[in-house]
Amino acid sequence: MTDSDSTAARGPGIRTGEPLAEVTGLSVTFGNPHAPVPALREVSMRIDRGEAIAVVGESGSGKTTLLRSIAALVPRPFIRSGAVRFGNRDLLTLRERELATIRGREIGMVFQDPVNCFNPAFTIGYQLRRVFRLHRPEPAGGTDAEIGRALDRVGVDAAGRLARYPFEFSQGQLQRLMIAAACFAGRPTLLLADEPTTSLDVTTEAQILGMLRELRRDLGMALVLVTHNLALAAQLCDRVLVMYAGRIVEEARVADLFARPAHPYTRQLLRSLPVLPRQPGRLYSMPGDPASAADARRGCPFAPRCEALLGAVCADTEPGLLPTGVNGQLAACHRYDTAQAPTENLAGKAPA
Amino acid sequence: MSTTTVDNSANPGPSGVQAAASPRNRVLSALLHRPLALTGLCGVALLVLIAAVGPLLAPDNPDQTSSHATAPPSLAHWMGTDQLGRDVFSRMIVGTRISLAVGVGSTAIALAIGGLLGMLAGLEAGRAPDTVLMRAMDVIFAFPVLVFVPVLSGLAIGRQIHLGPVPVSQLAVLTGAISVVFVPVFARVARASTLAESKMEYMLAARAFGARRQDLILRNLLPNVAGPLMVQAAFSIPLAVITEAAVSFLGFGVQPPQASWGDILNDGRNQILLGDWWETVFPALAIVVTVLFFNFIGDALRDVLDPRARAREMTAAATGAVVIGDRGD
Repeated sequence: MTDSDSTAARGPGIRTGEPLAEVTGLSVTFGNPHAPVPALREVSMRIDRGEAIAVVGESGSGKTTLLRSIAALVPRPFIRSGAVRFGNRDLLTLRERELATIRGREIGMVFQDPVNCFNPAFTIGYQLRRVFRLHRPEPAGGTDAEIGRALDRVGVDAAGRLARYPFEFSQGQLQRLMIAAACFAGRPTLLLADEPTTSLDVTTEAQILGMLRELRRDLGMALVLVTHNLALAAQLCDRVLVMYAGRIVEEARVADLFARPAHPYTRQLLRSLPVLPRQPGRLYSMPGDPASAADARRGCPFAPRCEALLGAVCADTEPGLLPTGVNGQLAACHRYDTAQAPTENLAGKAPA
Repeated sequence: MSTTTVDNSANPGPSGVQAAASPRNRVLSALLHRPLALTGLCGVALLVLIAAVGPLLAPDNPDQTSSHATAPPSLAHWMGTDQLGRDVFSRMIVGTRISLAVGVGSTAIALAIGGLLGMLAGLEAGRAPDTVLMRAMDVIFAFPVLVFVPVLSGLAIGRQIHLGPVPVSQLAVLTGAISVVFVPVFARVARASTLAESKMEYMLAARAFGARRQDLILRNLLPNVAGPLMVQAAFSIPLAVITEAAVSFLGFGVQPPQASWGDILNDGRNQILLGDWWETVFPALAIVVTVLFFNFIGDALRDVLDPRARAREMTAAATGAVVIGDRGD
């Protein structure tokens, strides 16, 4: 991300590093054959070693499903097509037994609600020991010493706390404990975080974010952060994937996304963020309801809410993910289709 | 538990507040702090003691007939005698063993089989094994208890039944028949708990952290399913005791000269119209009291094993209101 010349030399990609994981053509449909509920449609993404990617989008846009698919946690029957390549394996074809040696060891995961991620019936120490022993042989100083060091890194004092039950901890502390387990039980090269700070207050959120940034740097982990908070994405990540209705509609470097949002959805999303100093007039609010991948409609899924429609093409055909010509930025919008001569300049609709 | 001692030795801390007892100790001490549960525990302990050493306590030979037929309670015969002149008190004491053994035994069998089948069904929820198992449970559940059990048990009267090469006593057939009736209840409880537990986020989190299937079942599922099953067992034992009594009362259960409470009731059935109350009232009382004792325990267990109730108590303990689960190092 720092070396834009070499990026440009490499072609339209924004990638700089070597690939760590790659999702190709992933489609997930929940429900049963009589009542299918599509959640992801033909999603592809690449995660490079050590890079941080944010996946943003509204509720129901498929962010969490995408994240869980990367760890192969989505039940197999729901996966209609696609592959998740990690190293030289396709995680979606591995058996649970083989996956168990990858999850937690090579891929760490942090969930949204730390309170429900610990079993209320067991002490924190018991649960942490179990996770640590799954992934590393008993170290010389004992697992407890190992856990103590890990908790130290996430700012929780381990002394006397391991014998306590989850409900005796605050949400922020539990999230720190989960991050410790995700980062230190194994030696993950990829950390998946599903809205890790949504259930926390802003002060704690800032601390946790700072901590995640540090851990990522020190351990050299790649990060996929699912969030609906664009500011969070900006603080922590190099690249952003914007999801809408189960598809990726824009992919851009963080700076580009804020400076030159390419997809009308991203533009309207950014316009609806409050900014300081306060702008005159009412804060913009996006019209319409969030679409879900389950809505079967022809044409662009965003068309009903789009304020920069191009005409009949938007209602008739669904656009693919197309290069916008800037820094490898991609957007799923007909205006970047070179076959379709752009009929309108989007600059006129840029945020005020 | 050894795991907790390690942590505490590192930092003693204020023991009363920080103490987090091992689950087993906590359940026990919580039970001991409830008067009704304590009554139930003491009562059941007494019954078990009587069942264990019963024949030693009996003042008379329970099967010895005498000329003092249908005598009302007296100092010589505390609960009177039946129409054959046998001492009712002695028969009651000896009968405790059979009543409890059938009640506890059939519940234990039903718990093991029903719990296993229910967990299996819950893990396979929505798929063929689940459907087949649970429909089978529905079929068993539809059996009228007081027809099914007497028929099975009655078939074994005066006949040597073999289960493969193993000879089975009529009492074992009775116990087995009662357990069959209770299997669906345990299966449903286990299945419901398994389903609820499987949906918990910590199950997903455990998988995301690399836990294997057998880990999930043994370490996450089983401990959480065990609670509701124990509560169900506490309520099923008295029901099984009643069922045994009812079947014996109908004459298809425990056979003379063996004594069980229901059997004694049956013997006294004709006497009651003549005003000779003692032969029926005492076994009936024994059954009622036993049911009560077990229900006290079941009620308390249900409260104690409810995680939400437990959290409330622990909070109260931490704020000094009530101290429950003090480890006392």
